[in-house]
Amino acid sequence: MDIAIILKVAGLGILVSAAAQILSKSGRDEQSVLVTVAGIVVVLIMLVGEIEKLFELVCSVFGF
Amino acid sequence: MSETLFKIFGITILALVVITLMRKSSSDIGTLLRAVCGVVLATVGISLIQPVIDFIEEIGVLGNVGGECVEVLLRVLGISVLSHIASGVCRDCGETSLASYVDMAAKAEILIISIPLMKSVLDIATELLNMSR
Repeated sequence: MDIAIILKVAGLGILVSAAAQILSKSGRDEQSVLVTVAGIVVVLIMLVGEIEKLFELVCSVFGF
Repeated sequence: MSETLFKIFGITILALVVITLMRKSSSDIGTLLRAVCGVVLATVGISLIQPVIDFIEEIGVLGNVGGECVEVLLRVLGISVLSHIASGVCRDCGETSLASYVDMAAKAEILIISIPLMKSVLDIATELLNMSR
């Protein structure tokens, strides 16, 4: 179902923020920044896919 | 049908908790999660509304109002839903000015789309005035 993607993004977000905090507290700041950026990019790709689906649905339902 | 509603409510509350938790550590992914939630819930909402819109189209065909009016109304509805989502996400992230730009663009688009309708109203009014003379 479409709604599961929210759970995936939430789980990814928690994982990424936990990993970033662990890495930054153990002194590896650059790796924590890299992990954060990678997480943001993956979520952005998912978001773009969802936006495309939404626009297709709006075009088909509201008759654009 | 009610299962979808329960899923929506439950997952929205879950997402809200996660966003609040992430506000301190990494607010970027919290913002993205907010945007994803908005888009996905809008998709689900629109697919739930689809039977209502089919019904409105049927009524428009039966009522002899003219397919033009119903079409314009539905497009205006679609534009307002989309702009509501976008400006809501902007406002949540603290960018009130971006939200107002999005709203302004949507209002301009709605006015442009309703110009043919206003023309036909003016035509009907002119015809009535000519007939009454």
